[in-house]
Amino acid sequence: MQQRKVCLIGSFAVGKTSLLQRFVFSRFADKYLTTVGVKIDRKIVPTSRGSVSLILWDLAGEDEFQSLQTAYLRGSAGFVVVIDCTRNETMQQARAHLEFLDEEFPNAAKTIFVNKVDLENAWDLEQQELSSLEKLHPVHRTSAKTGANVEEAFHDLAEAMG
Amino acid sequence: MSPLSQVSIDLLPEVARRLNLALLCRSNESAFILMQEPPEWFGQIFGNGNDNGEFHLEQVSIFLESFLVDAANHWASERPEPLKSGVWHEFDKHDREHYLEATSLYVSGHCILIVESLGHDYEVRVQLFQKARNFVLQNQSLDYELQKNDVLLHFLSGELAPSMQRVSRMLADGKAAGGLNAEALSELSKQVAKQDILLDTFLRGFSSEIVAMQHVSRDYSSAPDITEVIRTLVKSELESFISRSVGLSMDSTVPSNESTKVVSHRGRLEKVVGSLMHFTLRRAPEGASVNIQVHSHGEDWILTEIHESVASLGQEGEAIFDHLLTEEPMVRRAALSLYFCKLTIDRWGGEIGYRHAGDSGCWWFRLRRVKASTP
Repeated sequence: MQQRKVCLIGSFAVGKTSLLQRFVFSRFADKYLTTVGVKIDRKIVPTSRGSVSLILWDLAGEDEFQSLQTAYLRGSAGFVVVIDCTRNETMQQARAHLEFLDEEFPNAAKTIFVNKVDLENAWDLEQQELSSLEKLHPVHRTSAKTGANVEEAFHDLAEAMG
Repeated sequence: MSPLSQVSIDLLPEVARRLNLALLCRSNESAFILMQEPPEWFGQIFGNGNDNGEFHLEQVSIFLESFLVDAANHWASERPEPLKSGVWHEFDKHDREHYLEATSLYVSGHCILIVESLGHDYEVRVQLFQKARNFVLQNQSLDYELQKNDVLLHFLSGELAPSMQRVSRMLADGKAAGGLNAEALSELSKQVAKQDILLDTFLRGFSSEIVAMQHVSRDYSSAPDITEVIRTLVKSELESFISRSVGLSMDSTVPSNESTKVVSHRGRLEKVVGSLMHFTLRRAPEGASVNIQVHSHGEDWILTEIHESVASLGQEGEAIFDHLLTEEPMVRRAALSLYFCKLTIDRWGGEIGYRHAGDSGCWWFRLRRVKASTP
């Protein structure tokens, strides 16, 4: 079976760990527990080319206390850049990550998860900025809490990784 | 060998074990051998090695498989300083979670790998990060609330300032004339009462807008159908338009089997569409027409367009949502309602704008479609 490494990156508290918990274990915890270091999970997903084993790297969120260790990204076939729809600054961080990834990993598949869409009434993203990102990379609106679009978004990425 | 050296050799393996360190030495390209009796957790995660006592760590740990690439480069460079992997999580055979960190060292021609279980130290580090990040999140949330209040205060001061200036001018004139006469006093009390009503209206309006914005329907059973909302509004507003000789009509290009329910709140949605219709009507000359169209915008969005045969705003209107504050009071008052439209549409995750084409213009906004299967 084919294996593909996928890294989830983004600012802290955007829901990377929750997305993986939802995708891999179908569960969700409301309490925010920060990730320090790396957690790795696996999930087999069916694609048009047969089943693919996704090796999912949940990297600690980036902030002034902790920066992204680029060595972790080596060998990734796909990247999920996660944005919190209630915090516009997480989109700025995502843009910077995507620019870096496009330069360093031009052949890897990249996708954007706009997470926490269950909190749509607290939406804080500038639509123009989001639309400009949407022109460059696929955008999925997800909710780790309700599970909305999570499965579909990872499947789309698995297909895109070829 | 000095007695001290002998003591060191005897004690160091146990010291390392008690410090939760597993010391390994690379025996060939991919195999490692233990340099001491390892801590218990090591065997529970990495097993006991092969018959030769060798460990192929990259086969057990995906994280180490990646780190050993960096470690190999580090050993090849023979640099004296250690290289740390950073923390990672690993589960043992009893499904217990361990927080590990690896270090590569090059010592006297030997490639050394140290794997450490961080235990309590890690928990303390996580608690520290947790607290710091919670504070940052709280700070960001407060900042956001302050920004909203700033905008409101800006509007309030913009509305109140000219009238207050008039009042203070009247008082100054009265003082210069040796006192206010009955006519000036009456005018003054009218101005003050006007401001009182204006302020009250603003605060009540703002309060109800904020309350309304907190409510949003996103499930199929409760989300409002925008086609139905517009149809109802067109029906109720038609008379006002006819009385001013302005045409009003609506069209939908959305197939009847597709949902036109949108993430929003019915009462608030009516207010948004109603505000845009009134804004258009107030500026429409006799004989003009307004046509409201509902379109699908990709699978996930519903686009509403309010086409004006005669544009209510000039070319500069395209930036109206970016520059809602103007000096002219009438425009500023209208801008307040547009501001609330934008605030509301933004809060629902939509987008609103205005475009100008020749003599005509078009207000538009898009909202997320609620499909029957949407969770």
